[in-house]
Amino acid sequence: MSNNQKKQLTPVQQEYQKLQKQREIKRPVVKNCIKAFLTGGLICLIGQLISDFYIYYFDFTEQTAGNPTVGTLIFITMLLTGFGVYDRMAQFGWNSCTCNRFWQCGYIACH
Amino acid sequence: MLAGHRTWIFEQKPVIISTGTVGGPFEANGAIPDDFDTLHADLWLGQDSYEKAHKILFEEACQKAMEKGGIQKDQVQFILAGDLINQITPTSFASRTIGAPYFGLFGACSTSMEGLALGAYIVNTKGAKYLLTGASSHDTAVEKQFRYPTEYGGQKPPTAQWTVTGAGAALLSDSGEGPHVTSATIGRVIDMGLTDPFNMGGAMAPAAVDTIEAHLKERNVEPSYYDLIVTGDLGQIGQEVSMDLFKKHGTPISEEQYQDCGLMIYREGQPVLAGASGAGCSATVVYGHLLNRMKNGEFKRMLVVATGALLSPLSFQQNETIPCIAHAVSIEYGGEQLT
Repeated sequence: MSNNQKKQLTPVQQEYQKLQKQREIKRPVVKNCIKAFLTGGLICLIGQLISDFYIYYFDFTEQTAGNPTVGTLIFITMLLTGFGVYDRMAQFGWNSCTCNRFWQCGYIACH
Repeated sequence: MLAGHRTWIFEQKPVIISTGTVGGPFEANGAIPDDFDTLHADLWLGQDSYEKAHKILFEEACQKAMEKGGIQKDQVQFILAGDLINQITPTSFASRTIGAPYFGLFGACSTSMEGLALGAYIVNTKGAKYLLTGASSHDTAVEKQFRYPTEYGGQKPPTAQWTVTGAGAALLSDSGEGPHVTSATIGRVIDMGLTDPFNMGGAMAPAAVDTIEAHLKERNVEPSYYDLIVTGDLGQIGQEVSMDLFKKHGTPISEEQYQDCGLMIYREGQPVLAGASGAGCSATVVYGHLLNRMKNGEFKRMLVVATGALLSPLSFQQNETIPCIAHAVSIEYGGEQLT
């Protein structure tokens, strides 16, 4: 909350908020970052494997393998969302999952 | 009869002759599945939208209450109920099915006790012979409206709570066998300036404390008069903060007697973060679990304090603070009762 907003609070409200803050469970930021790093890395690893798969088994080069790779990742995400698995994964490693989704959307928009 | 400024004492002692409680799959997996009359394995309840499923939840709870009370739907004089969805359509649509005269209530998660207090007042003054009151919520329908659709996969902070999929309804009458509704204290809207919709417990705690202290003062009883003082859905944070406030104000409420419906319904290990919430939380736990325990003679007097956060999806997007409310109703069964 900005200081500007804080100024409008009455003394009773400010006192209560201080008390409330002590009991509030903090977001485990460091833990979340580590989880996001690992989840994000895992998704990239899967992406790399899919990309290699297209290069070795089909007629794609490193430059052209991007499109089918992203398509496959989006398809997997779609399935996971549909089966209700995605929201549970996201609670675990939100940053990376959502970033990947944004990245996919951006990729589609560019092409 | 009015006692003090905002407490009603019900001399006729309206009776909760029967109740109906319905839950979803997550509740079936929880700590008190045996206290539900009906549990659904499917979150959709065979419908094509969550809102329609929400409507069915409340319909079934009402039907179960009427069936257990042995009365027909044309004998019900009034329905007083509500939920959390915009314009409380699930409850209104369910009331269309039942066909009784209807008051739609909105008190967010405090609706269950708002309805019971008003219902008891109507029955106490001979305004009705049979009356249905209740509240309901549906996890995915409510999450979609107030936060994000579940499938979007937004990460929740540890202060967030899990909305209960369930409905609870009670059939009130002026005579019959069952627990008595003896008094009610109506809450004031209290706003401590909190803005985080993922920390409802912290926002609602002062409202609960205000209503409980007003009730004890106006009914002129000590906290020890009640075997149980149970809040609706403060969750872990709200409960701790309100206990801090009681200590600060010198109100002698013990930790054993002060409990929370939001911490009873799910078991350890379910991913509910700070506890349960939603209009269906206090309705199902009180009308199911707690009244069953009361009938088994585990305790005789309880004060139910349902807490509600009166925000709308629009108000929090516009960075408004979250005003909160709590209504208290005392339910007694057996034992000596105050006149």
